[in-house]
This record gives sequence, C-alpha cells and structure tokens, in this order.
Amino acid sequence: MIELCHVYKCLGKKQVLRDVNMQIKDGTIFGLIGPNGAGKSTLLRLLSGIYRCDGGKILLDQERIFDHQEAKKQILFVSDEPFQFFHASLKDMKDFYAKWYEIDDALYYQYLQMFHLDENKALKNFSKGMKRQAFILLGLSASVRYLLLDEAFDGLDPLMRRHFKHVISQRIAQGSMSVIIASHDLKEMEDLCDSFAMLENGTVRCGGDLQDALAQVHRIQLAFDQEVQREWFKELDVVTMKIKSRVVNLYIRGNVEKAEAYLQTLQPLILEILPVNLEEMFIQEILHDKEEAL
Amino acid sequence: MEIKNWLKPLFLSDQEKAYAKHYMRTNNRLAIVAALILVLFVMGYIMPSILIHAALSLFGGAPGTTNGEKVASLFISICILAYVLPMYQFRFLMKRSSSDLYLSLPIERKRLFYVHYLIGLLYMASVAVLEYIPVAFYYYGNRIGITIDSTWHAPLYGTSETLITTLLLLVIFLVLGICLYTFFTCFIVRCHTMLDGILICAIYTLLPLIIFYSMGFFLSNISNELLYSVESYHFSYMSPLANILVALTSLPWQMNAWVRLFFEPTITTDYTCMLLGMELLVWLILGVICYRNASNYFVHLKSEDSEQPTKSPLTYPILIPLVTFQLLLIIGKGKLISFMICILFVCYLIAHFFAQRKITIHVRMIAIYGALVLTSSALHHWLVRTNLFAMIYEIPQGDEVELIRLEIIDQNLNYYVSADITNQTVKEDILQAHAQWLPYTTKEQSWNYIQGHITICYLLTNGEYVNRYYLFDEAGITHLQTLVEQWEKEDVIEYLDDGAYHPTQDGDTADPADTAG
Repeated sequence: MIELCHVYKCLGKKQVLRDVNMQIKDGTIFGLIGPNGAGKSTLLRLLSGIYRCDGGKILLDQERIFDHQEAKKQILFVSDEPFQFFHASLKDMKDFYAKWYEIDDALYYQYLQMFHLDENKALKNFSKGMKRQAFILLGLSASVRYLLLDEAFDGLDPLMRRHFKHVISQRIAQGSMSVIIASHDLKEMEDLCDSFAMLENGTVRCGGDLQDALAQVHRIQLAFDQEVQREWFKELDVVTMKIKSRVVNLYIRGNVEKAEAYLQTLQPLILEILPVNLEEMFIQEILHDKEEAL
Repeated sequence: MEIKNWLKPLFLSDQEKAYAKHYMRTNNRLAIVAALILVLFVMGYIMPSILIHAALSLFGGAPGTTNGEKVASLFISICILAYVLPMYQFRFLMKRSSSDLYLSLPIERKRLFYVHYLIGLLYMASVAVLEYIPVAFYYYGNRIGITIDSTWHAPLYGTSETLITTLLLLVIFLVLGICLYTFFTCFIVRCHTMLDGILICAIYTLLPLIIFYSMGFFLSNISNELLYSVESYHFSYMSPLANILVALTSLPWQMNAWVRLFFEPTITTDYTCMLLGMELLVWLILGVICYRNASNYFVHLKSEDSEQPTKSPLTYPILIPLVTFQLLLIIGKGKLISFMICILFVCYLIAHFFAQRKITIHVRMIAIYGALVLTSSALHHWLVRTNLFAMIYEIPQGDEVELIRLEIIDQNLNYYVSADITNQTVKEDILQAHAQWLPYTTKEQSWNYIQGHITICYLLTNGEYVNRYYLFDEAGITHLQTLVEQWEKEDVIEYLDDGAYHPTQDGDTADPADTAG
C-alpha cells in the first residue's frame, strides 16, 4: 500500500501540493483527477521518486520511496511526454526497461499483436497516440506492483481507449498490479477506476471509493408553483444550486432519503432524483468552490 | 574483508553492468565523437608545433619546442574529451522527459551518478589508449633515429625504457584528464540546460586564464604607477608566485613540462619538478573534492528544475561577479575609466539577463556591481600605498645580480649600445648609475621628437630576470651620453651586436668589432 502523509511540494515559488493525505491500496485502479495545475502530475512524480517532497512523507509498505531502490523497483512511471532515445525503436526501449524491470515477454508480444505496433520501427516516426500506446504497453508488460500513468488516454482514439481499459482491467484482475492514472478524461476514469482522489489547488478535495463517493452526491430537480427562495434549502448540504424562476437544480451531499423527505415538506410540483456521474461531480465540486469564493 | 567492503562501491552490480553495456552499445554517437577526436589527433600529429605554440603563446609557460611536444595532440584530445563527456553523460538532466525517465529508475541516485561517471571515464581512457598507440610507436622508433614515416617496423627496434616513458606519460595525462573530467562534471550536474552547461564549463576553463591575465594587468598597472620604468612587467619580480599560478592553472604548461620531464630531463629543473608534483597534487585534490560534491549534488538535485534557468551558486551567481571583477581590475585607472565602468555595467546586466532568461533588474544586481567597482578601486589604492606589500622595487640588490644586459639607444645621435656586463665593479657602477638616471627619465612617450631609451635586464642569482625600460627626453639624453662615454673610456662593455653603432674613444662612431673589449 502507498501512503501519503501530509505531503507538501513547491515548484519554484509555487506551492503545488499542500497537506496531501491519501492511501492507495494494492490491486486497485486509482484515479487522480483535478483541473489543470491541480498537482496531479507532480503527485505522480513524487510517487515514482522523481521528486522529493518538501514536507511529509510518501511510503510504500512503510518504506520511503525517494532514492530507495527496492521501493522504486515496484513502481513504473509513464509520463505524459515519455522519453525515447535517439532513433530508438520500441524494442530498444523494451531492452532498456528490461535492464531495470522484469518484462513479461509473453505479455509484451501479446499486447504488441493486439495493438498492431511494429517494435522495430523508430518511435520518432510514431504518431502521438501510437507512442502513448507503445509506452503504456511497455508499462503493462512490466512486472511491477504499481504502474503510474500520466494523462493515460491523451491522444488515444475511442476504440483504443476501450482496448486499453480492457487490458488494464485484465491486468488488475490478475491481481499483481495496481494502476494509478492521472487524467482529465473523467468518463473513462469513471468506467475504469475503483477509487479516486480529486485534487484542487494542491489539496485533496475529495476521494475514496468511487462508487461510494458518487452515491454521496445527488442531483435533484424541483419545480414549484411560486418563485423559489434560496433560504428554503439551507437545511441541506448543497454543493451547487441553480434557480430559474420556479425550477431549481440542486446538487447535494449526504443521505438522499432524508433530503427527499425534507424537500417534500416544501410541496414541490415535481421532485426528481437523478444519478450523478464523475464528470458532473467534478464540475459541481469545482463550481461550489468558485461560488463560495464569489 | 574490510578492504573488500570499502572497495565494493567501486564495482558495478550485475544490473549496473548490464545497463552500462546496453548504454555503450546504444550510444553510437560516442563513437562519432571518438572518430572526430581521432581526426583531430591526426591533424595534431601533422601540425603539433602550430598547436603547441598557439597554446603556449596564450597560456605562457616554458619556452621552446621539443620532440616531446608531438604528444600535445594526445593531451589536447584528453582535454576535449574531459570537456565534452560530462555534457554527454549527464545530458539527461537537462531535459524534463529524460530526467523523469532516468530519475524514476530503480537505482539509487548515487549509483546512477557513479555508473554514468564511470562510463564517461572508461570512454575517455579507451580513446586515450587508442591514440597513445601511434605515439608510443613514434617514440619507440624515434629514439633510435628512425622516423615512423620511414619504416613501419621501426618500433621493433625501440627500447623498453622508451615504452615505459611514454606509458607513464599517458598515465599522468590520463590522471590529469580524469581530474578535469570530474571538475567539469561537478558543474554540469548543476546546469539545467545544455547551453548553460557549455557556457559554464567554457567559463570555468577560461577562468584561470582570465584571473591570471587580469591580475597581471592589474599588478602591471600598479608597477607602472610605482616605478620609473615604463611597460614594467611585474612578474619579473614575482616570478615564483607567477610561475606557481601558471603551473596550477595552465594545462598546456603542465603538458609541456611533463613532456620535458620525460623526454628532456637534462633541461628540467628541480623547481619545475616541484611545481609539477604540486600541480598534480592540486588537481588530484580538486578531483576528489569535485567528485564528492558532484555526487552529493546529484543525490539531492531537484529534477523539476531541468529546462529552467540555472541558479546554482557555483554557476552564474558566482561567475558573473567574478569575471566582472577581473575585468574591472584590467580597466585600472585609465582616462576612460567612467566610460569603461558604464560599458562593463551594461555587459554585467546582459549577463544577468541571460542567466535569468528574463529582463529584470534587481537592486541587488546594482548593489553588487557598485561593491565590485568600489572593491577594485580600494584594492588598487591599497596596493599602491603598500608598494604592493613592499614587493616592488626599482633596482635589485647588488649581491643578487649575476649579469646585467644593457641596451641603450639614442636615436637622435644614432647611438646604439648592446652589452652584457659580468664584471663586479662595473655591475656596481651600473647599479649606481641606474639610481642616478632615474630623475632624467620620462614616462611620456612622444612621437614629436626622437627619444632615447635604456633597456636593462638583470639576471639574478636565483635564475630570474628583472627587466626595466626607461625613456629619456632631450635633457636626459645628454646625461645618458655622458654615462656611455664614461663606460667606453673604461673599456668595460662587451658588445653583443656586430652591427651596433657606438662612440669610439674619439667620440666618433665605429664598427663594434674594432672596439669590443
């Protein structure tokens, strides 16, 4: 298990991460989501031991990761801009990785066939999406406990995304790998991840089991026969509220039954409870902060 | 067992070995650099004299040429490799994506540094050994008078002594090269872009030279202010110090001196040997310090800084003020000092803008520049007031003078004397006369009328030279003429130049062959 305890990180003069606490359990697909500049990539670099945290600690099975060979052996990081050597082919990169990580050749060739990639072709001649496929493929072929993918779905077409989600799920099902993905693609993340952390302004806005988190947020549409007053909803834990004359859209947290019981006392003409997806939750959480700031 | 544990970090683990092999196999560009260096070596072999003389005229050092200087190209190759290899080996730090890849690898940073350092070192050693082979062949053959061009089997007739000599020279050059490579590595790991790496290493390469010459100009300016002699070269009085400075900083001097030590031991003095030993020791200590420093820096380096402006204190923050200070010392106290200080300030700001990669002026920059100007001026005044710690004097003591070489030219009277004086009485006379003619000298070099001048060179008993050059105006010429006529009458001057004109006892000019004593 990876644990982050009160992690702080500055890049230059900017405080990118502040007091980040989270746990990443083995055998899960963990999603890191957040707006641009929230600190997702920085967090992945801290997890892979590239950066050293300015405060707090990052532990893998109670051992520090930074500059710790044994801990780092269990982590493979695929950055958003993977580096390839001059004129290197996928095979060359595989040979390079094989010096440091155990590469499962059978899996490697299986994936190679699945994604129709030529291992002898120079990577510089690959398209952006193909290059990304190549490096994710390498990461998945490695026998590591944690695979860290930064902007994993960037540049992949929908079909390829589906392939990858399938492969990643399959790899997790084998029980030997956990995948930590940072991405803006919330739809894909919702399909793929078991747990997540939403970063905003360098702190964890919310997180935990994805389904539990989604179950805690609800979208409720209400219509009344008179003008709606904001004060009516003070009793509820409202994330965001949109009022249009006699119609109101509410995003609330907490027990939906209790909220429904309370709203019924307001005698709405229509009361409809709708499911919330990750993208909606993300947008509402960010909007909530902005509204509060205003 | 203890020694074994101590030595353990020097050896690579199986994984590191596998990586090193893979690295060497996949980095074909290193072979291209090797080929280029070999081409350079061949060129150096064809024109070694040009190279060595260019280097010596720039850096100073032991004069003359020897056959041994033909190994200059070997030394130059090692120096080029020492400069280029750290940049190549640690170039991954200068790009964010490559820095991410390397620093995420499951290897301790200290070991990653060591593996890359070692690969560069092995590469340098291999190229040097490859280049050494023709050098060894050359000397092996040359010792028995057969040149390498005449017969390919010449080496077969060489002696084991020559082989050992050249081999030892290779080892010493390699040790110096490794120290230099470590020295550059120490700065390369601090640089966040390749451009900064190239510049910082280049500045550090030239820094000893800049310091040496700026101090030279600075002290010469002070000498000129304190002495009657014009164009005084202060090193004539400070040569032990100056030579040590050259020895410690000038690689061509070291190369030349080492070659002489091995190939022409008869002309190598104990003093040179002492300097060489000291210089080797200094470089070894510097190498060890730089390795430890570079390794520690690498362990703690912030990879997020790659592709950012280089800010390490040992790079621009120290180099810009240091070089500016040296240039301020060169400016001295000339008529255009205010203008020069302004021009230098502009250059200083441009250097800072480049280092920051943005045009922003901080109060600190201006304050530092002001402090540098004040310090250089204060230093100048202080040294003038103390007579450069009493190290500067016009005339040497009589008992320390072994020989006086005198050259007098009075172009107004077509008067020309060139002589060596060893006679003790005459030497004392000249030393006395030296004090007498000082009030008649001038520092104003005039182009309107013809002046006379005396160049006097004292060879001291410690082997050093003291040169003084005096200009005389029209009033001084009469005094000068009297002096020379007096020496002529005493017949104490040994004329050196057959073509010189000088007064006879009758006062006419005559051929020196008739009058030389």
